[in-house]
Amino acid sequence: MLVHVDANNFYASCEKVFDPTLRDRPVVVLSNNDGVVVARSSEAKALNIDMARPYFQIADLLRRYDVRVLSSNYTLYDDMSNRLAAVYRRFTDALEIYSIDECFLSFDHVPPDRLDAEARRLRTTAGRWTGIPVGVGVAATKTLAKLANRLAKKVPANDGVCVLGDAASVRDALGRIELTDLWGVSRGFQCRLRSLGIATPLELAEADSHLVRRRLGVVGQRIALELRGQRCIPMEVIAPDKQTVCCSRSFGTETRRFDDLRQAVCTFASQAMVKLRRQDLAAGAVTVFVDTNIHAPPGVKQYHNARTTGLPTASCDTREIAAAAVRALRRVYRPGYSYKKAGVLLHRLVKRSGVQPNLFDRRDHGRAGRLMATVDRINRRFGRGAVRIAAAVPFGMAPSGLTAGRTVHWRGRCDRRSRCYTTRWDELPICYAKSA
Amino acid sequence: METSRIPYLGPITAGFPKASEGYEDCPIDLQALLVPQPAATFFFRVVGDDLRADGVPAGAVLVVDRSCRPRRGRLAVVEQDGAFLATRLGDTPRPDAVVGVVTASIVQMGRG
Repeated sequence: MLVHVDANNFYASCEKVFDPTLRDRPVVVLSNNDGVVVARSSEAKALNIDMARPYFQIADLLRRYDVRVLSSNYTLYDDMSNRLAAVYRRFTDALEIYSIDECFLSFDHVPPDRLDAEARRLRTTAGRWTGIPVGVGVAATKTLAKLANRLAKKVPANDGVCVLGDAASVRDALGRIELTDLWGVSRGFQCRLRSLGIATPLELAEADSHLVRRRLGVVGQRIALELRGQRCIPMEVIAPDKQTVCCSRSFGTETRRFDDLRQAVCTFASQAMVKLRRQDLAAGAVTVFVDTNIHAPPGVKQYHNARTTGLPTASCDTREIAAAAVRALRRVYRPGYSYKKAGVLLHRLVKRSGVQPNLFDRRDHGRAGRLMATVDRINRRFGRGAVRIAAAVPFGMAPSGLTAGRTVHWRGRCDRRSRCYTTRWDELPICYAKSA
Repeated sequence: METSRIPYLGPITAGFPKASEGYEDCPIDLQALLVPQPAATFFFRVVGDDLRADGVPAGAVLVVDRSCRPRRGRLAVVEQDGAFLATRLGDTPRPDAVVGVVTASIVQMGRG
């Protein structure tokens, strides 16, 4: 059997673990740059606050209901996500990290009569150890396990765990949901299913396999077979090598100046390179893109463009990548536009050990590698951006004093970000000593 | 005609092996001593001097392990009235109020 486990209201739950004033209060977390709502606590959901609504549209409503509004704190969420994965790994080595708050686990070693107990133990251990409530779905295939998890949450009597262990329980489950509740079924796909006379998940599971294959292709057939308990979507236990690393932000205020964009692009390149080195990868090409504000009133000139610069040898050296990014930026930058967003995308990624050396490249890569390792170590210790290339600015949690009085026009808004409780010594949660 | 330089990689050196060959070990790791269960361990900074007699002066860093069972008499971090408190657990601790058991108190003496 396979397990799908995901955290309830993950970002909001992370915030609640470390801030006792949030207990039983509605909490929403905003996207990067405080744009839209990306997470709601159960109390906020009960107030019918929509997901993905722009913050400025609902600011009054949130104030009226006394909802705590937080900027997203991805440093914290990433650490909590790793902790959850470590807890799951105690149950099985066959773990697929599907997203920041979702994993698939293999429970093939668990005897059928122990599935429910083991799933409940997984849920309580995760909740107890990390403070994050999770839901657990158990079934024969990934598609069914995801569906089981949905029912684990939706049906209160399930108490966060749902095992679809036999054909009867699968049938029952398929009768309780809509087609679009299924993993991989979009509205468009639903229309195509309807045109074949398939209106419910149960009908899809029982449809003629050849007909489904002929009319809906491999994708449709795969969903149908998974619903019948036949595994078609394999577990990806080892995370596949990353294809790209991206770093981009909307700016706090728009800018027309090349220098601002250069500073932003160099900073994004630096951050992307930290991510890259953490995975022991090197990049063979850099793409830079710039965007004007798509929400600007009609009449404002729009411009979107991207350019890619290739490197002779895949590199893990921030200086080299930033220089390549600035070359790309020179080719996309057009004066006279008001830019709202820029980003850096690293691709042609290879394992550092697998970098093809270029016979005519006489630079000392060992030295650059050691320098970058030292920079990363210093920044881990003293805060991100404590040491950086001169063209970049410190980002995120770095003390504002480091900007040395320069105005940073483009820096994202994150006014209401909580502290990095688990990754910074100077930002630990506090507790008051009380003798009994 | 185009020319290219072929890099000379340098001489290869070899010598006597280190006398300690085969006896290497990792330096002492504080994390291994204080945080045997990293997924469940969180650090808290202490405010107030009420627990000085228990080895927890103001400013100490508490190592809090959420995987330990909260027993009577253990020092623990609990949630109460919208704040975290470090305190000894009484006879019947409310399970949902206990954040975790304190497994160590780190007190720095300064370097001056």
